Amino acid sequence: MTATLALLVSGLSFSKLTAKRPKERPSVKKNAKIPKEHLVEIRGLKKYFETKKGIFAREKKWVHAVDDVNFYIRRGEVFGLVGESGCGKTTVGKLIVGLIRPTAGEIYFDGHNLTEFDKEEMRKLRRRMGVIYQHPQSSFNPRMTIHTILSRPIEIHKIAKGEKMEEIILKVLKEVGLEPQHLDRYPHEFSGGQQQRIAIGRVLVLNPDFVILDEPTSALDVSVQAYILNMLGKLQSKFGFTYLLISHDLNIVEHMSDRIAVMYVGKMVELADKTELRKNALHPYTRSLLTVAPIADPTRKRKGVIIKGEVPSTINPPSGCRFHPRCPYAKPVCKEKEPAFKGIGGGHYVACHFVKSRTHKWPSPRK
Amino acid sequence: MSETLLKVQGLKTYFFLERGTVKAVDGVDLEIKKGEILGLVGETGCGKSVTAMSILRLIQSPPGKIVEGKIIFEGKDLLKKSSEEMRKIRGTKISIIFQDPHTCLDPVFTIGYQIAEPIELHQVIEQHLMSAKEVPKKVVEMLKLVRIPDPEQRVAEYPHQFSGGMKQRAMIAMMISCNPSLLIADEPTTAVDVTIQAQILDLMRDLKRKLGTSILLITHNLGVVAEMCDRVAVMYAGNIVEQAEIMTLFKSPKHPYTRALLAAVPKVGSKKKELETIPGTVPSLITPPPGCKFHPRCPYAMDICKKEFPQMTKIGKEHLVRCHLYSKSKGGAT
Repeated sequence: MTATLALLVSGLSFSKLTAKRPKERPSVKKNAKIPKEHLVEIRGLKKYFETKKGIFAREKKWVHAVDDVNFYIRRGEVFGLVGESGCGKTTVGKLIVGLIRPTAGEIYFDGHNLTEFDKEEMRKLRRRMGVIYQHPQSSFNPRMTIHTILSRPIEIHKIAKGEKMEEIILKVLKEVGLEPQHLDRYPHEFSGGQQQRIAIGRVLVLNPDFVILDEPTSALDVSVQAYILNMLGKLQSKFGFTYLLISHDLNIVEHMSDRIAVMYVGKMVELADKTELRKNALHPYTRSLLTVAPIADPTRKRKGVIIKGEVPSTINPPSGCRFHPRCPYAKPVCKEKEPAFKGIGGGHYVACHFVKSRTHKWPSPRK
Repeated sequence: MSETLLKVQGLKTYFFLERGTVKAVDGVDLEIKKGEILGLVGETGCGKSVTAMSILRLIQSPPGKIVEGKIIFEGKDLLKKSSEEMRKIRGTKISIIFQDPHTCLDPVFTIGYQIAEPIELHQVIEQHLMSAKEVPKKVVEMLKLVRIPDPEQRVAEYPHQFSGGMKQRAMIAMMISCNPSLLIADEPTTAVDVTIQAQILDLMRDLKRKLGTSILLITHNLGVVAEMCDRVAVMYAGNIVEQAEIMTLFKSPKHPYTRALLAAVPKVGSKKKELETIPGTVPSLITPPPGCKFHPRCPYAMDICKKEFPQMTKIGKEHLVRCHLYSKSKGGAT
């Protein structure tokens, strides 16, 4: 019995050794200087997930969910993160709040390096962060009343007790447009929009500095979506929140954000102010995203082309620039060399071999 | 362009549940012309999908039942057909594409087999349009038509080897394989990414041009409607509240609900910080409010709105509105 166990254990560790493991976390630079203005700063962030392919799988594969991403979020701004499913945008959010550990890279929050924090320190810090998910119903315990849902975070972080706690809860309820009589009800008794308001309330009770909105309105109807977006906007200006808005819907991100970053298959391909991105998008992927996003205006004529092909897998991402198999301007260099994510002035960053300045002009692509 | 393909008149589909009767579709009138794309827009639970399923007579009964109305397709009432006749119409004359291709394809059969099935059944066995030997060639041809790369190899693959966008394209191939004159697309791009959505919409437009298929496009996305449709019908709580040509609807929407819906969409380049919202919630379909179903949320509600259900009023070429504001005899019965 013990022999088999030992064999099994050695077999396991052997398979671990043989698997090509991505580089471990590099030693942390102690003297990293983070400007005070940057509430969140991310440097060389990587997250690889191991694919589980059963016990007979010979080869371990890695999902390159987030692969060398750098950016910062200023205090009080709304930072939009757009991309298609599987591009790693949600993983970035999870890494920031510490729900998963990065494979490499550093995450700074208000000057602290979160990758150095242990669980307890992380738990304390998480008071200052909130997350709102796409499906509120799956983020609630169905057996808890709204009162329990709202009071739990206050209790856990020991913010207030008794009457003071009730005071906070009632204040928050008013803020999200719910009534005190709703407190004794259960999540399933509410509509999708109301549930999302409860989820917002649960974040508000802690009065955080930073809130991650992960597809906050994707599960909602247009009219309810408008209500929630307005509420999020109002709360931001009232409490001075900093938002990271993660969405696949460019229209929503554009409506809400100050700066927008575009991700594609684990990489950030472009980052700019929202007006700059709309007027002067330079990465071919961003340009096609802007072209294809449907806009509720029948008079608008489509510019540019629809890109061909599928979104590649993050297990074996394409070599060089990950967009090259679908890019209308791809040249041999794109297949061989990975483009650097570099600034081209005016806070505009692009990862493309050919874009050298903000005045770069692409020829009109041929089909 | 003006020939009518499908005419739905006064369609009422109810679901008889223990807690009451859900009036999911409560008097819908629709008309689809040959070769046009008609958009059917509305929020969750307004009865768009039930309308589509009623047209195909695929309402689960019990609890559902089409209680009233006519569905005239190519001059004949579909509601009077036997189930055997309906079976022959589905797939050959009218097809449907659903939102989620993952649940529509059978995981244990190859894509090729599944596309061949309707062709074999309808075109080989029923209509004798081709011999069984020609079917594999036709399947490859269909896959080519929906722009699946290497169709010769792909026919032998299983659904799990296809990506989401490719599955949806395979579904389209299956549905158009027998040249239907009407294609119902129920939220065809809701489950796929934006770039893939653009490819699928482009494909549908292309097919309409090539094959002359009429399309009933059901969606909640006003952007998709603006890009695709010739005409639009807006649904609210089981009724069509406004119907117009695409330009008219987006430029001068008349019904307060349509206006609110359009104002609620974030606009590109708009400086406005706040979006318009619609107060209140979607009414219950078991006990809808009396009179106009939108009146509790309507900023223009008058006394008559609480009492009387408004009739469809024609206010322009191809422009119909169900609202008392535009009734010819305000305050009186129409």
